[in-house]
Amino acid sequence: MNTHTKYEKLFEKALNNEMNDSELQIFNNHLTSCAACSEEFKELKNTLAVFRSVKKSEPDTEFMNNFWEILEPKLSVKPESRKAGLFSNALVHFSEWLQNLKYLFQYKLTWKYQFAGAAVLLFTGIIIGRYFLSGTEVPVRHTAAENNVVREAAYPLTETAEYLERSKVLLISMMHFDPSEDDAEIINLPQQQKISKELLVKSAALKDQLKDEQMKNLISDIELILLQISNLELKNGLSAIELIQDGVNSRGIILKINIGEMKKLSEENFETRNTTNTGTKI
Amino acid sequence: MDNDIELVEDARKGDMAAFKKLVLKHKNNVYALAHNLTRCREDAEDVSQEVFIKVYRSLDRFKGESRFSTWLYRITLNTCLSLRSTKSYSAERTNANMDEIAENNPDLLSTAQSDPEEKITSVFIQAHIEQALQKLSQQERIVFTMRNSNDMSFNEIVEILQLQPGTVRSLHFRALRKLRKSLSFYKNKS
Repeated sequence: MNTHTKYEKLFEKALNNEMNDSELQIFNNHLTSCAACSEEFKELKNTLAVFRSVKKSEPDTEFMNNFWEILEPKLSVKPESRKAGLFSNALVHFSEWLQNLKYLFQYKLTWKYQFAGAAVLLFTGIIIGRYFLSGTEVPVRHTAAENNVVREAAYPLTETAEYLERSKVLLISMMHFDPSEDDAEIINLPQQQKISKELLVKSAALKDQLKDEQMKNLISDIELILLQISNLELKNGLSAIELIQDGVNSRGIILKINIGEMKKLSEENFETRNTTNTGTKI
Repeated sequence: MDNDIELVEDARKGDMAAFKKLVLKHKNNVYALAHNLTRCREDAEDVSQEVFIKVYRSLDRFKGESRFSTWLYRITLNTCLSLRSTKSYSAERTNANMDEIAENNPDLLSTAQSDPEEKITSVFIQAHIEQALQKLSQQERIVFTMRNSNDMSFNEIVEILQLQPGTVRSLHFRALRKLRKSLSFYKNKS
């Protein structure tokens, strides 16, 4: 036996005594003719009565009588001194902000936002893990034979480092060029194109030697930009440089280079530790 | 002179007597809300003290845009929720048995109820209610408790929780329906 949705909506009003006379009459008439609604309404009313009938717990009299005496010593920081202290004020603001943030998460955000937040955190964790932590294994003492394996697996570190550094310098100079204000001569395009072509040659060689897929992808991204720079013709207008700048921005290439360099550095440290441990130069 | 806003103004200027008046005026309500949300006397005592310390330290932050009591209850609620998150409260309370209920609410077995059978029944119902409340979502539990244990109006709850009125009413009704299933055993006894 099902209750009637139309009248269910009136249950809450009826339970909270918020009905006007005409609503009450309609509702009561329905209850007399509908057993399901009548039964449910009776049970809801009864549940409220049971809940409210339970004797409320009284506070400890001694605690309540001495409430202020217990509290007063805890109020050690006075409002005047807080006003004087910038740091304390900032702390209060921060704690309030945290409180609001927490409140926001508890009441305002639906599960969709919470899920999105969790996904962002997870993604950030993966990025940090892959780019920053992947080369920080605990140093292990290798034998000379094992060192050969390590050496084979490692990047051609010096070449990669040089390649990344030169690419970064080149790209930064391109990024700093403002077509709306700077003169085209400032950028010295022929020189940049010469460097780009040199780097393109190195790109191909490095990609053949590297085993790390992330580093290979980064070099492919850089390669694409280098190719654009090599083929850049200023007669097409300075907006061509803007296209390159957009490409660098959209791929986050400079950021990736920085991360790549950090990764390379951590691997260099790893190799140095191995060398120290085994006394053998890798 | 006992107007909350004036007392807050005076307390901000360092008038401890004014702050004391605020504390004494609101301590019972803060304790009651804390007790109904934590369901534990000891926690309610800690929370109610902590709330007034927070209030004292944040007096400058009270802009008077809402009533002082609303702001106070909001802080109480947040403090209870913080406590909850630090004490794995849910699991603790889900396993609440009659002994724990009696221990946390000694007055249930006080002389106020002279009939021993009535005392036992009271503790039993209380334990059953505790378990039933744990089946509600956090929001449902908070709204239902504020409404039926603290006798707050829906408007007050809306202001404290900063939710839409329809949401609060819907949470309350949903909670009531869930409790109805859990407490149906008592339907012919009250």
